[in-house]
Amino acid sequence: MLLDIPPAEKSEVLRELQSHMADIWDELVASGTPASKVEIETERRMGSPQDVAFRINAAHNIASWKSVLLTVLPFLAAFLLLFLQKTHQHWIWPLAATCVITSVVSIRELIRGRRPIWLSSWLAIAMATAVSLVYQVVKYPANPSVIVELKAAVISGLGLSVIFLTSAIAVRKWQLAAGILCGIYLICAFAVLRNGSTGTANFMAIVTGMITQLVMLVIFARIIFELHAYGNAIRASLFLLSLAGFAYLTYIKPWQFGSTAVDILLAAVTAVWVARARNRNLKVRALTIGVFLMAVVGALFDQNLMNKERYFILIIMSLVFSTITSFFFSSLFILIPVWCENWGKQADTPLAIE
Amino acid sequence: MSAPTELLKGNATVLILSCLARGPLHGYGIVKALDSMSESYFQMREGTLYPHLHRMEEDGLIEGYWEQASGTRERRMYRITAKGNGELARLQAEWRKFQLNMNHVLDQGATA
Repeated sequence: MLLDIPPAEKSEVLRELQSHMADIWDELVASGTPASKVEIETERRMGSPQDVAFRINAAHNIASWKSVLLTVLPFLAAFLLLFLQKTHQHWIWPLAATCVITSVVSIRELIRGRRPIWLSSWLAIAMATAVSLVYQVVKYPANPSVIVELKAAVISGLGLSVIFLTSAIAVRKWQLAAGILCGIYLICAFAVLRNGSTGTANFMAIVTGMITQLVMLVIFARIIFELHAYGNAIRASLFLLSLAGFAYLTYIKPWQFGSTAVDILLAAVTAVWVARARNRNLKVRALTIGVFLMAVVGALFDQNLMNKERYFILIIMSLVFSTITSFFFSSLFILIPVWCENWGKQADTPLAIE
Repeated sequence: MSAPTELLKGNATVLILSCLARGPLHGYGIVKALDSMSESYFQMREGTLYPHLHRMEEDGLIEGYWEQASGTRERRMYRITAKGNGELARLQAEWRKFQLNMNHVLDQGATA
């Protein structure tokens, strides 16, 4: 059994255990224990490495209830915003308030170099509300039209690209990819802003713009959470899952889910499950099941599907197809950090308690 | 004679907080303090101690920091927080009440 915790925490735990073992060693030597028995006795007193690693993994991986509550708060806010969006004309003010509060808290944690599990959902809602806010402000006061909405989406996406580029500049290996992605996005944005709702501009905005932004978000999640000493791939994936849960606030939505209160509820339940799971495998399982359930619910709530098909068997087949495609695309987005970490681990020699 | 393992694990928080209430200690120091305070009745294994310490730190009951005194090795020290002091007071009161009632039951059982 290995220590399955963020690298910086792992390093601190090993330093602490080594210091403790050195103390036991000194005590045994001072008490006149024969040199041949000192090592055996030290190991006996420390207990089995598997057992120690198992307990330490559990202590570090199972989030406290306070952390769980903090993780869930953004989902409650998203639920409330969804309600206000449908019932109040001036829902932009609570949206702005949510954006400011969550952004300030998230930036504070990022600057302090901490990556607690609850930051995944806080940062996700901060970004989703920021995108939504820019979108609403650009759209206002013009009458809603395809051209205005498209332009508003592109302009709010530019803000996302700036955030992404800022984070990527700090990591050498992502600088080139970030430059290329932002370049592609800028070309698309320019085409849309210049041509309005022509077929080419629509294609540029919806297909290319969306794909580049999804890739940007995945890389952003990896930089902020997975590649950080106090973060890991699970937190990166949880950030992406939260973003998918808040998708109704943004226009980035290549899957079926992300528009209903049930989606937010499922994302919240998955986040709690991930936060309280004992080890990495259980957390990955929770994430996968959560994404699958969100895909199923997304397919069930797809109104177009229900209206289009007349025959029961066709509806069922469409539901299955819709679930599979939605699960495939959303997994590709949400679970990529976890897959990348698995890939990296095969080539890496893991650190055991020695 | 040492305390049963399960009893020790179940009450590790109150025991560790009681040690730290006397002043900051490192992990090895806590094991030794517990051993001397209980006349070797409570012998906490390191495999039990560290997960508890880390969990208590996560819960804000104690605070860990690295310290290196001159001529000694670097050690991670722990000190009790205000929240930890409150929790210790609560657990002490709970234990005393439990002990009192346990004694009543045992005494009545013995005289029956």
